[in-house]
Amino acid sequence: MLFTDYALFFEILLFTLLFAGCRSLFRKEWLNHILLIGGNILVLTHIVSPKSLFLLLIVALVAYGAGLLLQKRKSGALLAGTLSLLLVLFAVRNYPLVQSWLGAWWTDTLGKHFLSVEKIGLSYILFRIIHWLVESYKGTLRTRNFLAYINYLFFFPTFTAGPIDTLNNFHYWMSHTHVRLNARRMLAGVGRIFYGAVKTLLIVPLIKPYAIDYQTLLPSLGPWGAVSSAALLYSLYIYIDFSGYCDIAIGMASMMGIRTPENFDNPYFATNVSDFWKRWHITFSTFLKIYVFKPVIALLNKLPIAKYRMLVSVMAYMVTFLVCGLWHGSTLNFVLWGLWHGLGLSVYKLFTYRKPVKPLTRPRKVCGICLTFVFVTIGWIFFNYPVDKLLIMFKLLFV
Amino acid sequence: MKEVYRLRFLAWIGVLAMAAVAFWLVIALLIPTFRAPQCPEWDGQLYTIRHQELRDNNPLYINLLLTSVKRNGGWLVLGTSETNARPKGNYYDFLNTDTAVHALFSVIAGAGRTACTYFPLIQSNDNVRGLKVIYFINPSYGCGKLSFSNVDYFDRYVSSAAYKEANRPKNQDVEQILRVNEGNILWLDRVGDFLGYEVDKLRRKYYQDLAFWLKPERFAQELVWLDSTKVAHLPKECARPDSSRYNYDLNVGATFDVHSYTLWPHPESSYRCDELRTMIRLCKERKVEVVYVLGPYNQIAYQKVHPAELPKIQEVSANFKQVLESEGVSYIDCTDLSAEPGVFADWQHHTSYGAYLIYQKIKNYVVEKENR
Repeated sequence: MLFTDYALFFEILLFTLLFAGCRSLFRKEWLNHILLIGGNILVLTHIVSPKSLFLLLIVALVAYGAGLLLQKRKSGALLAGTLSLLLVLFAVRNYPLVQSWLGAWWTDTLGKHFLSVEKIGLSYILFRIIHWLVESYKGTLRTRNFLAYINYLFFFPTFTAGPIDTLNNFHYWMSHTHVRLNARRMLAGVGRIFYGAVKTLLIVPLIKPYAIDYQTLLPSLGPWGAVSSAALLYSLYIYIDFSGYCDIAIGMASMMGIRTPENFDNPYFATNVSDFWKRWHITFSTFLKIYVFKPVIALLNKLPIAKYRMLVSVMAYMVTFLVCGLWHGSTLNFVLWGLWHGLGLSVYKLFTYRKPVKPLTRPRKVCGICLTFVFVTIGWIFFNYPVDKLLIMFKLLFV
Repeated sequence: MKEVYRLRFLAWIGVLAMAAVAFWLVIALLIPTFRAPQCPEWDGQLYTIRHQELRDNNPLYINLLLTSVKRNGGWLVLGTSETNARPKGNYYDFLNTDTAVHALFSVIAGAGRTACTYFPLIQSNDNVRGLKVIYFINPSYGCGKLSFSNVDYFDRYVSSAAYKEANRPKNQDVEQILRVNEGNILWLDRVGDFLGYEVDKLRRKYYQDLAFWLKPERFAQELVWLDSTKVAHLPKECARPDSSRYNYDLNVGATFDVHSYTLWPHPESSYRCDELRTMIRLCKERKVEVVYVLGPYNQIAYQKVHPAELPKIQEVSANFKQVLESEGVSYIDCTDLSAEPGVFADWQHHTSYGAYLIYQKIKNYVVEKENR
C-alpha cells in the first residue's frame, strides 16, 4: 500500500475500522462485499484516475466472462487467446518499443484509451486475472461469485504492491462470517501497520539517498568504498522499503479480517539462491513457479531435449527469470538482472543435482548466507543502474 | 499459510502503538495552548489555481480564487496558450510589477482554453458577479483545426460530470455551444468523469478538512499569492529580442521553423465568433465586467511566407472585431502590433517583448478605469 498523504492514511484507517465493525455486526457475505467495493472505489480513486479504474474494470469484466466460459468448457484455445490478449495489452502499456511496433493506427484509436490506464497496480491486476483464468481452466476455484472476484482484483491494500493473493484464500476469509471480530488479529494488524510504517517512513528516508546513487558517497568513501557501500545499502533499502509496504498491506487486510499471504521471510538469511527466491517476494515467485516455470518445463518435456534433465531445468530457469526481469522493467538492465538470477539458480542446480539434501553445519550455513547475500547484492546493481553505468560500476568494484 | 511474525508479538506492538497514540492525544488535550490548526483568513490575491480544481468545479479553490480577486479589486485574466508563462514575463506579469497600476492580476490560461471552457464556471458560480475579467482573443483560433470545436481541449478543461449537476440557468446559446463540445466526448471519458466526480463529491465533505487539519502548510504551498507590494523578480521593462536570437526577417524566434505551418486561416468558419458572442452575452447576463483584448497576428510572417493567406487572417481578425463592436463591449485592440518587429515567437504566440507592448495597452485602459 502506498500513501500519498496523511489524510489518505486516515481515510483508509477509518474505512478499515468501519469495515471491521460491520463485518462483526452483519454476518452477510454479500453485504461485506458491497461495503468493500465502496471502500475500494473510495481509496483507489485517490491512487489512480477514475477513467483508469473504469478501463481496468472493463478488462476485468471481459476476463470474468472468459473465466466463466472456461469453467463450463475447458478450452485451451480460449485460455490461450484471452491470456495473449491480456499480455499484449500489458506489453503495449508498459513497453514503448511495443507501442512503436503497433504504430499510429493503434495509438490513435483504441490504444489512446488504453494508454491512459495508469501503470500503478496494473501488473498486480494482471497477475490476479491470469490466476483467475488459469485456475478457472484447471477447475480449482471454489467460487465464481462476481463480487468476490471484483474485490479480489481491486482489493485496495494489495492493489499497488501486492502481496498476490489467491482467489480461494481471499474468498475463504471474506466468507468467514462465523467468527466474531478477533481482537488479537485486529491488534496484530495495527502492530503490523506500525512496523511497516516505521520501516517506510523512518528507516527508508535515512538510507535511500545513499542507496540509489553511489555518487552521494563518492567524496567521503572514494570510488570502491562508494560503489560497494551503495550496493550494500541498496540491498537493505529495497528490502526494507518493499517489505514495509507489504507489512502495511498485510496489517490493513488483517484488521479487515482477511489474511493475505506473506511476501518476505527474512530473505537475506537465505543460504542459497533457490532459498532466496523462497523467501523474497514469495507470492510473485510462487506465481512465476506456477504460471511460467512449470508450463515451460511441461513444454520442454514434450521436445526431444527432454532426456537432458539438467538442460531442461536450466532453460526453464532462464526463461522464467527473463520474464521476471522483463516484468520489472523494459530496459536492458532488468533483463540482465533476471538472467543473473537465472544463471545463479542454474549453477546452484548444477551443483546440487542428484545430491542428497543434508542439513548444513553452522560454518557452511554462515558461508552460504554470506555468498547468497553477495550474489543478490551484485544482482541489485543490475537492477538499480542503467546499462551505460553498469560497466563503470563493475570496473570500480572489481578492477 | 506461513506465519513470519508471531501474532502475539504483533498484537503487543499494536497495543503499544495504540497506547502511544492515545498518550499523545491526552497530552495534546491537556495542554491548554493546544488547539487544532484553523484555516487562516487569507486576505491576499491568489495568482491562479490548479487546472484540476477548476475542471472538477471544486468550490473550495474556485471560491477562494474568485473572492480573493474581488476582495482586492483585482482582475482575472483568461486566455489561451499565449497567456501561459513567458520566460521574461507575460503581459499580466508586467502589470503585476507596475506600481502605477493598483490592481493585481490573477490568471487562468492554457492551450485551447477558449471561452466555452469558462461557460460552466460562469453559469454555475455566483461569485462571478461583479468580477473584473480580461479576456484575451487570439486570432489563431480562427485558423485550421483551432477554428472549430475541439473535444480534446474541452475535455481537458471541463469535467462533463462536474458541471452537469451545477445549478445553472438555462441559456439556449450556451447550451448549444456546450453541446457541440460535449457531444463529442466519448462515453468512456464520461463514465470516468462521472465516477471521479461522484466519489470526489462524497469525499470533499470531510477529506479537504482532514487534509488541511493534518498538513495546513501543504495548502499554503499549493496556493500561490500575488505580491501586493508589486516587487516581483521580473524586469519592469522588456527590450526587443536580441538579433542573434531572433529572425527579424520573418518575425519569429531564430530556432523556429516558420515553414512548418498548418494553421490556415478559416474566415468562413463562424464557430469561434459564435462562441465569443455567447461569452459576451453570458457575461452581461451574469454581471461579469469583461474587457476583451483582441490579440495581434504575425503579419510579417504571413507577408513573407504565405502572402495569399494574409487577407484571410486579416478577415478572421476583422470578424472578431465585428462581434465585439456589434455587441457594444469594451475592448483593447492590439492588432496594430501585428506588423511590429520582435513581437512574435512563432505564428501564434507573442514574445515577452510582444507581451510588454500588450501590457502597455492594457495598462492605459486599467489606469484610466481606476482613475475614473
